[in-house]
Amino acid sequence: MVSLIKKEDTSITEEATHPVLEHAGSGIPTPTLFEWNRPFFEGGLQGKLRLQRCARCKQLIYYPRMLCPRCFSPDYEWEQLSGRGTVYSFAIVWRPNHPAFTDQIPVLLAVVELSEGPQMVSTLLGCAPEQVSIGMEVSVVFDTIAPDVALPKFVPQT
Amino acid sequence: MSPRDPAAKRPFEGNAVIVGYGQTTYHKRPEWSTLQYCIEAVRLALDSCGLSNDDVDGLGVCSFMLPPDNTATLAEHLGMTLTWGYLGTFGGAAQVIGLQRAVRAIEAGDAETVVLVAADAYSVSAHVSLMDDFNSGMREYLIPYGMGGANGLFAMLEQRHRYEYGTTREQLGKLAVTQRRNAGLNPNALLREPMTIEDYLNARVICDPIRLYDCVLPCGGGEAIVVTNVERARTLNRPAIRVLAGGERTNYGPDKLVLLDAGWREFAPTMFEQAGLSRSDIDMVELYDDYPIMELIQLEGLGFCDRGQGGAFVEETDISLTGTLPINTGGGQLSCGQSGAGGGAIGLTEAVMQLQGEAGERQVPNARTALVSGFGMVGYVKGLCQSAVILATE
Ligand SMILES: [Zn+2]
Repeated sequence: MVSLIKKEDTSITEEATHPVLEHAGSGIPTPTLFEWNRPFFEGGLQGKLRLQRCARCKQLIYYPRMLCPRCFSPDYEWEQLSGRGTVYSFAIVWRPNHPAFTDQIPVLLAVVELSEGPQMVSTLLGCAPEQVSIGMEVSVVFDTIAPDVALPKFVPQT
Repeated sequence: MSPRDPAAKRPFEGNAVIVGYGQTTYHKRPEWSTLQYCIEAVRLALDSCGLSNDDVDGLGVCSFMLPPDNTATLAEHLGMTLTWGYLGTFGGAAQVIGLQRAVRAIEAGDAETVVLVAADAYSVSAHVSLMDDFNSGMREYLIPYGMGGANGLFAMLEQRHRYEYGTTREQLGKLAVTQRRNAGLNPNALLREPMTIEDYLNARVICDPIRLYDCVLPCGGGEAIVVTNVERARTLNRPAIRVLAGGERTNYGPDKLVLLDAGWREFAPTMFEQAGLSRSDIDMVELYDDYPIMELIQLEGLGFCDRGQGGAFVEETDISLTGTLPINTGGGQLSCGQSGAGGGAIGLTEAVMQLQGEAGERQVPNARTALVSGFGMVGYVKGLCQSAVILATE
């Protein structure tokens, strides 16, 4: 079972829209930041799940893109989402690809369908593997893995 | 979508045929470099049809680990002067796509004789480090989650397929067990010891619902085929294998992450129409089997059964070597091993060997037609590339 908060190395920022965990673990591979994905990862630091919304075709975009993959527009706005969704599918990962995750076994990998429509792959925290099911309602928390990167992860809705 | 109707693609002219194949020894732990596997596979393929390096003017290469070498530098090693080249970047779909490129090039006169090689010195550690930096979508948005490589992604695909369609582990296991039996007749397969359905069902959990025998064994190996024009083929005294039709898609369903339904569904009707065959005319199917669940999705997409019915189809069909639809007659990647990009070519080599009547103990009786399917290049969650060809004896 993955514990949501380890007292000695995590804390929750109270004023955030959604909880932000400070992850002390090091060695986790971090994403490269670009102009078009930085607000996504930085939004997480403030407890906000933000995605690009294309200014032309109005589609929500994930993963972040330089151009809208549907209509090719370079214009978009960052929109804050509810942070709620459901589990579309999941897997219980006993053998993470990267050694940095061996202390998090099993990793509960999931495709989360956000209430606003887009799907994203993330991990589930705060629940046991046997509790996970397709259709389970979840909400976002953020895991700070680097000073400028907080990853959206999901916990069961209470 | 494209304004052009993809079904309007021009059929192959029938002037390009496959005349030879080569498969190196497979090594559980790679014993050679990727370059060596490439060179050896090319040598074996040319030997099989009595050709040499100076007969070749076209070369296609599919490999994850060949860089910094490439098509041009491999041609230099092989002493070939090329008028045509291809570097396959479609992962496990690349060799089947390369064959279609080669057919067009030969028809156009851009090349007369083409060798297509796919190989890798694919150790477990090479596989793991490749996955960690496979492409930018995966690197930025999946790897930071500890996603378990391809196992995690295909476990989620299987989970959803089972949820939507009631697919069972027993149905998936029939593929793995049948292929293992075929591999027992294939001296080059790495996993030949008999496997029961209980062995499959009770194997160690890797990435629930995926267990050990759902996964392929990374290994060292190389695959190659030789394609030439009909006139040249007549001089070689070898069975010429016709390439009746084919198709490919890249980034089908751009809004989807979990591809229960992929590009095969879109191009299969045109492919069968251009081949002049129906599904029941196909004597064997060589599917891309990185996981059994992908085989079901290919059977569905290629139209052997309805959407979601892949599990039931496999359960009800005799897929053995003497059955109504033999599947992965040499054991596939699940039993032979996955030689990196060579995994996308093993089905093509096997089909050519079968249609040339040289498959030995595992020869499918009276084999006249084969369908070979490719799949590869996992990007953000889904495999981006699908391909297939239909082959036939003359
Ligand atoms: Zn747009």
